Amino acid sequence: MEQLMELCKMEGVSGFEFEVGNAVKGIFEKYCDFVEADTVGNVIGVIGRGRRRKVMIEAHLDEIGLMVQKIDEKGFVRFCEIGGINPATLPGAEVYIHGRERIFGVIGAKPPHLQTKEESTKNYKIEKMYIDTGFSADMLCDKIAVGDWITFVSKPSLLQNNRICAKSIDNRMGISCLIECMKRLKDTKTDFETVFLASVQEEVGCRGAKVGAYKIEPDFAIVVDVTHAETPYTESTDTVFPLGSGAAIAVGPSLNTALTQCIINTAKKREIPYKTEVCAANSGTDAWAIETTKKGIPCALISAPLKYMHTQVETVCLDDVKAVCDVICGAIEEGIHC
Amino acid sequence: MLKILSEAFGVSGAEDEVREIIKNEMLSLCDNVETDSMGNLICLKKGTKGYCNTIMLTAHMDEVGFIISGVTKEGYLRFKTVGGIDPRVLSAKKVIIGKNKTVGCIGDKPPHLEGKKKDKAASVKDLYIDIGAKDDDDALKYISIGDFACFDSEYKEFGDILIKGKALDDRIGCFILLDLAKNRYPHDVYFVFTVQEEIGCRGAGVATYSVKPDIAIVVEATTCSDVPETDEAGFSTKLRGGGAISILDRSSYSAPDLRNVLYKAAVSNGIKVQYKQTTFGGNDAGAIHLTETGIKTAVISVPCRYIHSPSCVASIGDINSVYDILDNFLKGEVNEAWSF
Repeated sequence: MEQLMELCKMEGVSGFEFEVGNAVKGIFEKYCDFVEADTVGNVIGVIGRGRRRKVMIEAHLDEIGLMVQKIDEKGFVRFCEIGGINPATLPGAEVYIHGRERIFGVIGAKPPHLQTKEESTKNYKIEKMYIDTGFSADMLCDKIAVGDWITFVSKPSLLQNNRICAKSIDNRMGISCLIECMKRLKDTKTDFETVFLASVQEEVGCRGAKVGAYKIEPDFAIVVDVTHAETPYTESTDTVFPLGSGAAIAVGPSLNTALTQCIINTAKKREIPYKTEVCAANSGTDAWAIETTKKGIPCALISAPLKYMHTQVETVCLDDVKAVCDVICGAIEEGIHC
Repeated sequence: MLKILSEAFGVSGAEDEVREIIKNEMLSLCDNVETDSMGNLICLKKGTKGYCNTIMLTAHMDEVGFIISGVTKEGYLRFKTVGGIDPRVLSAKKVIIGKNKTVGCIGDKPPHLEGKKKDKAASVKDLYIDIGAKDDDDALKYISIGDFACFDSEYKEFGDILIKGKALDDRIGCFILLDLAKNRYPHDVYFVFTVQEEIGCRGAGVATYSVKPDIAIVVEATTCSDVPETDEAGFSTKLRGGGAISILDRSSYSAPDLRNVLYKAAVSNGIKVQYKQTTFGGNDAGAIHLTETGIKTAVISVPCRYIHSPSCVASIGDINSVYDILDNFLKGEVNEAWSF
């Protein structure tokens, strides 16, 4: 839990993962035999180098965020999004702008009492909102510039029933699983060279995973990410899972059937709670990119259900995170015979 | 102190925590401290001259927030707003609920399921609070129906000496009164901390009836709309423009001679001051000035951007300006404001 909370406090929007990448590299070094960062910023850790078969466990490092688009004459900052953001969550949100200094700001919009009745029934559009940093334009331009990246401020909170509420659980949850698997596998005798890939730029198109998988060229890959959890207004026919229902193991045309079945068998055998997630097309995860790398890499996708995805209050259940780790380590310990 | 006041829990009707903090300070500063039946805190600091006229300064302790109105079968909390809150600031914000200070976050309709309707702003009845409960019985272990909730927002100083926090309306006023109470002035001064302002200025009238002051000054936080997408005519006040003196709003006219004396106290001492330039909003003056046979009342406010949101923003310079104006006014021995 503490590990996940620490990871969520780290800051790294797609394309700007250097700080979180460095920190994660430091953690990988504690448990791996060999660690490197590649040219795009992916962090790669290896346990059991040279063993007969190679499995890659992958999760993305980056988080959604914003970018400075314009600083107006009064010092208000206009911004655009990096990754998918729901503008309805922005008014009143707090942010850090990462420039020459890290600058705090509040997202504002036209005050409600000055709006027409029609305006006030609509959500604010992203281009109508701005960040108030409390600095004049002159002072601010010494500290930040157009193109600087912006993260949300959200102190992780522990809710009831082992649930954590924070920014960027998508996908620091995945990174925390990688670290947990390292701890468990580093002294376990397996057939595998296990390679851990913490990839960049997933939220803008699964870019880091593509070059990372090319370099590592594993026999197969297990991708760890988040999936939508059940909340009010979702229906039983939606592919959503209640928090606490275990790991969501994806099936569908873009995922390797034999590998997936092997993982499901491990879950059944070890009585690890899981649900089957149906992905009829693009899973929207790095698995989509990895599967078609080089001569093709068989992929499985295991997710933890997440509420309020891409907001400052993403919520995950630690029991589900544990189930994800259990099923991955279990499958590797059993040798993945597929 | 402002950090402690801003982060304290005090939704209208549940001001106890804020009152205890202020009371503890006031006990050592004032000559008499009392809490009335509604929860208003009334503190008297006697003057040096034994004049028979009294001045009352008020600030309200309560803040806007929420009350838990129901629990769904799945364990989510339904709520109503207490005081005026634009539902558009609620999505994905954290709240603190009840005496146990249970943390929750506010959920909304998922945008990817909304399709074309996603431009339409949510109303409070679409929103819910998630505390991580498994179902209704589990939820009721941590909270009760009728519990109050406030925003979860840390006080922070930032920018070119600004502050950000919840409930700056009107903990800023409470803070200024606390600071003024450290001084002794020629006249008797009542420092009054009121309840239930945000739901209709209900505490102030009762407190005024007890105090029966000759003049009253309401110390508030008010709208400040000097932001993009807004015409200058709608600014109301300007951040860093100094204390804002009201001429009128929806609840009262300030007594012209009293507000002129306040304005003069600023100008003659080189203190930044401005007039509030819109008539939006109302405050405790509405209740105070119509108490008994009428009380001569004025309002002075600290400009506050994003008021009634989890992230209210104000300027430390403006807070100091309001303090200095009032300090200079109170130091005046025979005040022009008496001559009516």
